[in-house]
Amino acid sequence: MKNKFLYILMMVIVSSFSYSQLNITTDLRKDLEWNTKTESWDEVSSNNEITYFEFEDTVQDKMGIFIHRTNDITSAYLIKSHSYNDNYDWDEFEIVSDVGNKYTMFVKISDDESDDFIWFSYEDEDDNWRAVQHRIKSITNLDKNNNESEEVDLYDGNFSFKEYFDKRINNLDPIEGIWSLNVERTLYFYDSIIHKDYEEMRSEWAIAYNNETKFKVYGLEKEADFSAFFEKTAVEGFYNYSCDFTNPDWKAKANVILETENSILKYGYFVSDIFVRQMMKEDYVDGMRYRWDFTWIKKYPLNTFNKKDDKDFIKNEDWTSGGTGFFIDRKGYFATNYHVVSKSNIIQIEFYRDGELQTYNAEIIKEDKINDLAILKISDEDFKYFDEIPYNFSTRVADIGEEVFALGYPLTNYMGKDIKFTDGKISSKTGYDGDIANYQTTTPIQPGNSGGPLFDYNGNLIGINASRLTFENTQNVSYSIKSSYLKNLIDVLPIQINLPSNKDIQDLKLTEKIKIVSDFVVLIKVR
Amino acid sequence: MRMITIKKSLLLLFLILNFQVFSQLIVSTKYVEGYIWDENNSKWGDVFFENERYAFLEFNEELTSMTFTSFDTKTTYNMSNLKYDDEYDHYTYDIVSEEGFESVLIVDLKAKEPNVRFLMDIDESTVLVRHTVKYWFDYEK
Repeated sequence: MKNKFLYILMMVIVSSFSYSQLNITTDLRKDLEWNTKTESWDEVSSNNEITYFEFEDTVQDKMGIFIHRTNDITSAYLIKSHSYNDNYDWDEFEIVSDVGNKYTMFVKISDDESDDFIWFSYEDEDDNWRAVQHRIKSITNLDKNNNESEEVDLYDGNFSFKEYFDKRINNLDPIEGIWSLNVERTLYFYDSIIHKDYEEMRSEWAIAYNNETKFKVYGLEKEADFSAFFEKTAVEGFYNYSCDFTNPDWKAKANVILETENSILKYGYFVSDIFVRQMMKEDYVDGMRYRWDFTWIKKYPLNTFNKKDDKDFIKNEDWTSGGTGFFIDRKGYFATNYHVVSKSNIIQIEFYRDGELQTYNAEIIKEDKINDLAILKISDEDFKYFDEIPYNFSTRVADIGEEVFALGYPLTNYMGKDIKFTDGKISSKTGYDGDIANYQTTTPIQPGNSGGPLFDYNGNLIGINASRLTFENTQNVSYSIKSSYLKNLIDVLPIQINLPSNKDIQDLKLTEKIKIVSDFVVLIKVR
Repeated sequence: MRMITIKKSLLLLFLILNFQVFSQLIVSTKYVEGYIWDENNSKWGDVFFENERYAFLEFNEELTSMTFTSFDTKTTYNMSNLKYDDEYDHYTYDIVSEEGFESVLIVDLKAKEPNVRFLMDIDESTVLVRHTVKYWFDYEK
């Protein structure tokens, strides 16, 4: 097979239109030295070192860098040149490591998959040629669109969660990892607190893939005496938690938010009355309630959040800036901030429709520089009108303290192109310096959120996020333009816009609301 | 002032000599962090993303272009307007990517924790992306 290594990389691309990664696991390391007398390689040592090579498909044509992980060290290598050797049927690379060492690397992948290897050769300080050969154990195509992974088989002797996560480091869900668990327990008599205690770093647990959408909680040393799962929802960062206890039998359920760059999990619930009675025994009186609040802090692996998002962190190949917008009419009209599109020659939008990514060109219909608003329309004729826009456009002024949430595409360069949910509360009915056109909210807004929708918890659109943000310690202060100002702009349009008035989603769970309205929030790309 | 001028001259001399003797500067990085400028408080906000991220910055001999290669991207920047910053003892370049995206590159190899920083305007915010340097070396072809 000619150029087998590149062929495999190409197959990876063909099999997945989005992100894919080729991982090679090696299980035997041999250190070799060139014998000038016999003109052959002498084996100096060997060991069963397991190592991992990670190649990225998006740079296959440029052959950028690759990562090599061992138990002790992670190294990156820059590929300076590549060629294919017909005689030996292997790929040859001139590479330089991230500490400046130069190697020639040979990758041999045969059709029968026997004796495949990755070989590094180099000249040492004494001008002797040395080599390290890693025997290939397996080659895995990690398709990031496909979250299927192997089911975890635990407690089989020397199973190591750390190793397990290392092995799947680039295919982990953000919730997977080793966590320490902090628990705050509060005993109430009706609403009065009788007793509260807090256990810090109480215990360590692993959360690992179980099936398509579920992640199971595992005791690190021995199997837990309960069965707990985190289940993915349609909204990134939200999970449903369920736990079955025995002795006594009861079930706990909670909605879970993964926050602070996916390193903290928080949720809480009132435990079953059965448990409270058993715990309090003769001290139990009617009206006693017991609440557990859990805070999980991720210990390992570090920053899988960004690891995952890094897969989407592809440079802006075709736009120079961008923001967020949202449809306000079934015919393809959408709103955003004026500043998002003010310096544009070409505007493109992306959004999902029936699960498929849609890309359309768009044009500005109306601008309001003073209030930083713009209305645009999809200009491509092949756009098919929506049946309906599934939220309610509300012009009422939200109250202080009202819970709100934002959807948007912040910093796609670094945080990926998935839609992001953030929530908070209305902290003022006026914006910066008393600006009556704006709300001040605690909703975290980052660059790229600009122009995105701000909803109340009934799914009513109440504002347009304006991305004027400050960081003051950990307190975010964000501003959103009141929807009534957008309505004023719509009213002066020479065309008829039928604003959404659908209230069907107001009784749905938040996660379901978000799932539905997300399809009508667009990523705006500008150049 | 005189000391600063001498210091600046020596550093420039060092830089020029360095690249005349050797062919190509390569900087490898291992970690990335992002910050957003907080205009109201005139300071950088809390880190809003951070990640293990291996990358290489390959500077050409004339220091007029730089290729940034990470695990999933490869971009060449044209570099111009080299400046030495007396106050912070680092070098800055105006850089423009292949796609025309403008930013400022700060090469701060003398810092306690050597780093390179990309300073750019995104969506009315100023964003700083800081790559922690693992090593830098001269690559001879």
